[in-house]
Amino acid sequence: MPDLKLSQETLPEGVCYIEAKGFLDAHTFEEMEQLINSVFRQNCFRLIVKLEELQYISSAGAGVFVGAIGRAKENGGDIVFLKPSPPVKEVFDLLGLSAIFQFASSREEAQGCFS
Amino acid sequence: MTVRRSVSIANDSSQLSSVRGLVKDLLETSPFDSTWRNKIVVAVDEALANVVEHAYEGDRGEIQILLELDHSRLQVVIRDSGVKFNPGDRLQSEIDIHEHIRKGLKGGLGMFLMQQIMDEVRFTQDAQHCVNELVMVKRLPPPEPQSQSESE
Repeated sequence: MPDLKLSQETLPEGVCYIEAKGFLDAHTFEEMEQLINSVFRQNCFRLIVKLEELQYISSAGAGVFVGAIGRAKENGGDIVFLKPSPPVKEVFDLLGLSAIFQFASSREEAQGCFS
Repeated sequence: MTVRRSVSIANDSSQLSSVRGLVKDLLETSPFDSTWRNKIVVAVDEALANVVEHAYEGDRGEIQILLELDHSRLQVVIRDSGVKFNPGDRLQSEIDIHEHIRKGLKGGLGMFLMQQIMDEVRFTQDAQHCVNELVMVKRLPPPEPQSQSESE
């Protein structure tokens, strides 16, 4: 069964780097939600989320980021998407999220969004 | 020629990926380009995820999916025998994403995507037989104009 693979590491200046691979849908979105909540509990509100190998996202998956970005910004942080795959970017475009979230094409560029 | 596919699944979100695969396979034979194929898969997934989550209110139930592709359109029918579903004002052609973010709202985006992607989205109820039916239609793109060498 297609699933979601998540990894997380901490970068300098309190930036949390999350990589998502696979499928972020109504079946798997809670895994992403739990990871972001755990990152927030560690007082890390600067998130880089790499989506290059995320093959699919549904509204349930996108909704995790919609629900989280407000809290990130309230705490001086943000969510930056790194290299979203074309089908994922299409869904962001349809939802109007491309005008709200920041996007980067390299890790350095993404980190620069927080400086 | 009309191509038909049908499948029945349990109301379990683990079943969503297999239906996405079925839709994707059918669309491989259609004139939709890869961008539209992906979008249509999203619309069907959103519709089905909504039924999986809400139709049987936590009980087990069956959901039937019928796909029909002909020379003019793709039709998707999703049937369940769960609680009567009335989309009401959830079936919106516009959303205020800024309000979603302000309020931390995560839901309500799927119906919007269905409306954005498909040409028709209709909900009906057969109260006598306790069946909810969702019909979505996407018209096929016009044929590509023939190149000069092909037309000669």
